[in-house]
Amino acid sequence: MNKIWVLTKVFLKSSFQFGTENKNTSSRLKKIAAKIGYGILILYLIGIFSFLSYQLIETLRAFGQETLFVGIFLLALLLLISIQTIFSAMNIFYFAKDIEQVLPLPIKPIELLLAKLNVLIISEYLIEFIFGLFPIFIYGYITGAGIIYYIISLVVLLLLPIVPILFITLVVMVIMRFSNLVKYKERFQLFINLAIILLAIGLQFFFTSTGEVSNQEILVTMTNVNGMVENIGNYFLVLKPAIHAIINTNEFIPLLQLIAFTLISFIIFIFIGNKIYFKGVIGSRGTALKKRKMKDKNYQEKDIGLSYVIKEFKLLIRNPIYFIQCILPAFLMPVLLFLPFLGNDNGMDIRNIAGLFNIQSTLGISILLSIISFLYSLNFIAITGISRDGENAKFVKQIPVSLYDQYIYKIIPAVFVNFIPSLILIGLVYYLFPVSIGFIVIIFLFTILFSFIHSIWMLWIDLKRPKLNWNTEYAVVKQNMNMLFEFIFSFICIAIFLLIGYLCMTINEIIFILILTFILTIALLFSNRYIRKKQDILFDKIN
Amino acid sequence: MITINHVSKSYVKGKKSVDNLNLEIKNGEIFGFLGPNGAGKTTTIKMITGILKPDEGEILLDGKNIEKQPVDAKKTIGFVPDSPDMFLRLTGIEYLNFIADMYEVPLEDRKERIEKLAKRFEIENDLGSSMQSYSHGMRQKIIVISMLLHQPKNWILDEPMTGLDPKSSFQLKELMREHAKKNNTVFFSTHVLEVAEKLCDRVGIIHKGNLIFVGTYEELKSEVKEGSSLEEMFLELTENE
Repeated sequence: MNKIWVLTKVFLKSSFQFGTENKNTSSRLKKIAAKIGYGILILYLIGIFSFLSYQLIETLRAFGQETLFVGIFLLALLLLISIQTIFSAMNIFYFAKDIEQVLPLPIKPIELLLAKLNVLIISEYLIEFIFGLFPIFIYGYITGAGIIYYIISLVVLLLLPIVPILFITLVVMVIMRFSNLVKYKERFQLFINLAIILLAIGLQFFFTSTGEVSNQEILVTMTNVNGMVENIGNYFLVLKPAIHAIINTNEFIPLLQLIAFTLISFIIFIFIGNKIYFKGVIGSRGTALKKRKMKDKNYQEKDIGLSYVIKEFKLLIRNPIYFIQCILPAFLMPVLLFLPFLGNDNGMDIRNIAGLFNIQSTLGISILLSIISFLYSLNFIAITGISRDGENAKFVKQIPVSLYDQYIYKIIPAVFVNFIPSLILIGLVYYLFPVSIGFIVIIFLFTILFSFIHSIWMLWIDLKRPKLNWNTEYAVVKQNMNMLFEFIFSFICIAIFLLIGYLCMTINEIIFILILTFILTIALLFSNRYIRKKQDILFDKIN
Repeated sequence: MITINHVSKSYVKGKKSVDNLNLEIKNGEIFGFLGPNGAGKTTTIKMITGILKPDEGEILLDGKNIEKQPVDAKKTIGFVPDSPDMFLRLTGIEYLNFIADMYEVPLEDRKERIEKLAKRFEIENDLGSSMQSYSHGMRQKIIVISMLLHQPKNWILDEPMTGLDPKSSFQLKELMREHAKKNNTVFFSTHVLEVAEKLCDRVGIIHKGNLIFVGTYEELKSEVKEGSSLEEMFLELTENE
């Protein structure tokens, strides 16, 4: 038991990089500042979710339907936890570098399995704390619940993530055990991961298109939503008992059911996990050498820039963690956000409503650029452009290629990937609004200009605060404070776009477009001049 | 030729990791750079290769200043870093092609050189595999081959023998000798004192950032007790300081 706890602490430290404390005063201060920053961000998220929950509960209460909140809320929480687990289980259990360090130690497979499970559960509890705890308490406060409610809610929240975590991890373990038999192991694992994610999106699409949320009668909608919760509840074993345990605090059977489900799942998990996890871990490490003679076509000569950019892309695509965290969101997020607009019957309704809004106006253009700014903030390629290389980052200083040129080569993959959300948004605009081709072309050119500016400054952030000593590639993307700056940058850009749009509301659109072109071109020229001039200083932290 | 003039570097204020280093490695010379852990060897190598900027002084590679003409200066060197774990998701041949592109090595030349060197290091049939599947020694071989593709005049190697099997280690030493014979420069750091003894024309010993000895092996012997082994000489010098 003691070993499991020690291992859990080590894994938690390595995944959150607590172990690299610097005794230097200024960097200690920076660490404190970073912790305060995290604290503010967490408080901000808690505040937003608490406020939204309060609004929703009050609205439902007006119709005497406040219990519906518990269903919707727990379902959302469960989905969030499940998606998060899909993204992180394979990494925590198989790809994390810390596993390699503990494999030679005299540790039983079950101890490693349970320590890894603890890490996953603790990280999901953190998410629950941010998104789950306060809305449930607010519900209790509004409905005037007694102390028993709070105790039961806490127990439910503690138990709720466990079954989905155990189930998803079991699926991952089976896949990994099986993938050892496959020749192209890593590609297979990536493919399976993608399949799971696509399935999750498919489900989302299914529910948004059959939920009929556009129904006029609010009570009917509520019944539908309730029906939807019930429906999905059939797929999530723990959802119904969790809901009933919270709603009917005088009944203990749902809570006992929840405990029983969790216990049974745990026993199954331990039984199967103990048999297959260790073998999967050992099998997943190292790939076999393929002996073959080189042919003439294997020797290729390319232009420096092209060769560099191809290398960047190969390293991004071949690393499953980087692919899933850096490239995939650029595809997924716009699809997830825009799917509801394309759902079966809703499409026509939305087109009718869209017809009432003139997108080819100053405000319309500002809103489109704001959406683009938000979508670009989900592209983590430029902001991890240096950190992804880790110890290899100093390579940029070894080769006879100017640092300015390398700066540009490093942002090109980000600019390319930004094309995807741009094209999806523009396609949607073309589908929903009666707009001219000229308008579409202008918006597209704006997105390209903005994409360059965005990527230049994201790489700048990474160069200012590179994260080069990491234990797992996952830490580069997920446990990286720099992402906060990406969101802040995006937020500032949105504010600027909306402000300009608002100030120019009375101006002719053509003049507005000229003003925007001028602003974006100047911003890009300035950014380019800045990095060219400061290239030596910018790469100072890479050594 | 590598010229280091009055070079100093500190990471922490008031504590110099390299202190007023002066060194000239002439053409045709193999120079071994020795010192205990944390003595300043890697810092010096990082400054020579342009990874770190010196606080004071200048470094010239074939007369080109690494700070003022970085691109031209870097073209004159081939560098083997202390860790061979470079871009492991590329295959060996992809990595070599990439490096050849960076140094603008023409197609025919790179083909000929890769084939010759891969055969010499016995990895000609492994180039198509991902470098992740390579052993430490195989990765080291790829890095050494990549260093030689553009036929640089100055070789700079940080612990180059680490992980190499005896045959490959022998091959590399042979290559170093051949390179120096053609009036080129080899500068390498090592912990293996016997390698320095047998291979180097001159050695330099750095300790706590200061160069405490530069000269031939014979000169080194004359500085310490008679009959001492190289190991004893090294310990005596670095402990006396």
